[in-house]
Amino acid sequence: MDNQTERLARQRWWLTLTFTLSWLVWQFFSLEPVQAWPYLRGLPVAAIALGAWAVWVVIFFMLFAFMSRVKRERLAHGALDDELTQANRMRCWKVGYFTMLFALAAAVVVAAFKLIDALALTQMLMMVAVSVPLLFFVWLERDTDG
Amino acid sequence: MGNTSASSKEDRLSYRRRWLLVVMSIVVWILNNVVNATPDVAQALHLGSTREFNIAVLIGFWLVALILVWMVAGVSVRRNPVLNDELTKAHRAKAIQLGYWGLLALLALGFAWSHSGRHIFDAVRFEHLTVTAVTLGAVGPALLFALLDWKAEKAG
Repeated sequence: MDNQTERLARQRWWLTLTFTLSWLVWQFFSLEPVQAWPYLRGLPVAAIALGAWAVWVVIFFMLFAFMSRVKRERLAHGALDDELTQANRMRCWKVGYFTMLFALAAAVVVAAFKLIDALALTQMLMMVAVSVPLLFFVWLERDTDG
Repeated sequence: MGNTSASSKEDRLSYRRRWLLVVMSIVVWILNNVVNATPDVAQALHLGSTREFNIAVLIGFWLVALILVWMVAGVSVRRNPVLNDELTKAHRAKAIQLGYWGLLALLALGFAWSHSGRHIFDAVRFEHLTVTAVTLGAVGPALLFALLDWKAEKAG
């Protein structure tokens, strides 16, 4: 990889990581059972969730800007989206799909015994569904973190 | 000659795999209906009268699932590398993408719906919704794979 591609790959890596982490923090602190947790009474939970949401929105737009920039530079696009990246992306989809299927199967049991409120459970499933493949991608591309 | 027998073996195995996927989808769909036809599972477990029935349904569900997994392993690509060509990989990729985005869309829909005040998530029906989501998540990609495989074979 030349310098420009390396820089772009690093940017993508950091954007994906911060996107996922801010999503997780935002979702976690906006879960109703977490907000009602007595251990967190001293913490400004709603403010943390709002802050993480703000970070997430900024990263979201940065990701869009990044993607449109990469698309404009066709050479960089080709180098960035090479065979290895495509294979990694495929593995992420696979991991995401099976994780979601197993998480849903676990949710059947959790729902049957009413261990968690349905709304919180759906939100937790979404957290897993979005973050697992993205974090797996970050892990697969860990060599590009610089 | 060797090529002919290899390709007929491949045809036979992929035919078997296709039908296995279709049968699996039908069985999983029937199971989904059986599980959803039972009353609130957890409540029934405490009532006693339908307790045995519900336990039997749950054990049956996992037993059939295991048998199906074992049958699918019979056409496993590890033992039959001939089944794992580039086209199959492309079909599998498409099926898995449908599975991932379909399930994510279902989750997002459920999440949005639960906020709209329609009370779709009252406790009794939520477990049935999760069962249906698992069913759709398993059946959709399996049928898409079978369909793509069948169309590819028909095309040549």
